[in-house]
Amino acid sequence: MKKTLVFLTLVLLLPGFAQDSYVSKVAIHGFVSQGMMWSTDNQYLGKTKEGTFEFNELGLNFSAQLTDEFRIGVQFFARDLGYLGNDEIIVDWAYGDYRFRDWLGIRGGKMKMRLGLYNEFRDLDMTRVNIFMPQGVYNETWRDSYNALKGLGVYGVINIGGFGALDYVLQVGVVNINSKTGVNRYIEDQLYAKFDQYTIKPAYIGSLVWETPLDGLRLAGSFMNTDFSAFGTTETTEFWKNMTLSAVRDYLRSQGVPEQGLPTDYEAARQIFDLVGINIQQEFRNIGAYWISAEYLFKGFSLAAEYYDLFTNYRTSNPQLGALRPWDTNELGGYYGSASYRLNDYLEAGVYYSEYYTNFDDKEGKEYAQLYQFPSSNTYQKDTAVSLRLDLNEYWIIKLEGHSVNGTAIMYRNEQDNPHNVEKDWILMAGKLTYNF
Amino acid sequence: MKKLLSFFAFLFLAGLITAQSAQEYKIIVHNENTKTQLTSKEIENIFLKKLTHWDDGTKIMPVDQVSDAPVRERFTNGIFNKSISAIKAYWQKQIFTGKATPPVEKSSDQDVLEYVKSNPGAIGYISASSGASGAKVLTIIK
Repeated sequence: MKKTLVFLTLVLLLPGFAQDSYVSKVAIHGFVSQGMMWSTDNQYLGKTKEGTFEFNELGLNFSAQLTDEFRIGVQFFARDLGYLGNDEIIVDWAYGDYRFRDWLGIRGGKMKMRLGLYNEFRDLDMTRVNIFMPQGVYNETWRDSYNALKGLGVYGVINIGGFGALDYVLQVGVVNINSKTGVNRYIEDQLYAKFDQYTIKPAYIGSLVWETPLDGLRLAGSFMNTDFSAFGTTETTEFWKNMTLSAVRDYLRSQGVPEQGLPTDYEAARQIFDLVGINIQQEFRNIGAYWISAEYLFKGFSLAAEYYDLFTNYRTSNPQLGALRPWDTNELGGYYGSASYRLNDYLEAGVYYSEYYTNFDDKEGKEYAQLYQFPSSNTYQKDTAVSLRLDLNEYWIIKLEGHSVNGTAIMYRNEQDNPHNVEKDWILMAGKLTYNF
Repeated sequence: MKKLLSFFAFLFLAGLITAQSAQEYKIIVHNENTKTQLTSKEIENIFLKKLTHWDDGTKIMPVDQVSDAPVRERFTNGIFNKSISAIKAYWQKQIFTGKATPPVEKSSDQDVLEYVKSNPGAIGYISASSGASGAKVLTIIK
């Protein structure tokens, strides 16, 4: 990737190259935003109860149309969202794009993943009315992993006459999951463990958008398939709550504990033995996710609804002992409906309602609460949001947004700010100022 | 909830009532272009750069008008059935994902006409009252 980046930068920026006619084709665009978040009851992604300004984004891109068919570009991006991002500058995307025909083009490099209707554009605050996209489908904490992949893509638009057009994308490549990403935080949060190494298999993505004959109506479907494993160590004895008692006994047996000394229940094991610092591997196999989407735009109106479902097989194991928790399955996801209206050149208002569940088989969280002794509201998040967007001019935008939330599924619980007694009902307010050119 | 629905219904009707039905612009192409007519959908796809080549393989070069030009609003409403803001949002999505850049913008009908006359693949729009001497005016099929 570094070589690709160096190549693109050389092509786009070196004065020697710029002496020819291509210099006139290099486009430079960017955006910068600063936001503020405040919440009641719970800390959401940062120290929001006190109000936080750790909420900013920066993007700068260079692109050039080198021939009628071939274009290249790169975008640098940094963000700070509470515990996430911390203003680290990353290559957001960097790819070459050769378009043979309107119905066939190919891209190579790091490119945005087209999942649902809006995943490709989730960084682009200026293209929507809301500050936070509906979390039921666009989980903010997973953005750095779902945002872009390194690989190849094929795309095109096929005209189907009176039936409209089909806009397709096929992508294959490696997604970004490491110890700094939100996905890692989520897994650590669930397992009470620390992971520092990942092996990731290529992700396969397919997306089809049908531009229907009804002007402004788009229907879409997307899917993604991938596998990955995380390697780390247990951090607290809470980890063993997720494991089987037989796994605990096997582990203790391997440590030389005699048979008569083995615990007969989990609590006994937890009280007697130090079960921290054990090497573990968390595997996710056959991760399959799909999105179903609909959007209708008419004059100043924008209506959208999307459904998202992710299924995975998973297990936890130890290199010596094998499975600590045998293969199991989980299905999570959510959905939302949204509406917005642009009143004039300056003002746009929007509302949405979104639901997210960590386990579709336990929507109310009863099994979870019984098993782990945590609030059932940790398994869902139902969010009603109202947004207002003010366009000061072509470049400056101010947004205000209020959320009334029931549930805490998308919330880190093992941070010192948010111990386990999170409140079920809470409010989040946000404001944001964005400049783009 | 009822109040919310009523509010959106009101805004929807208001939008319909204020919609302009009269076509107050004309589409122009280079004189050598063999086309005589285009559908609204074809024009939309051309100006969104989803349709990039004419039938003879020539690259299509759409030319837009600046956002505060009165004819741009009429064209945007008439062809896209959307606000200029919605079209700008579309282009921001293309720009910031590296896919494409918007059509060049000209500040007057005369500038658009000159651009079209000097580029065989060009297509633009001008006010219905403006002259199109040296270019070909296309019929728009709704």
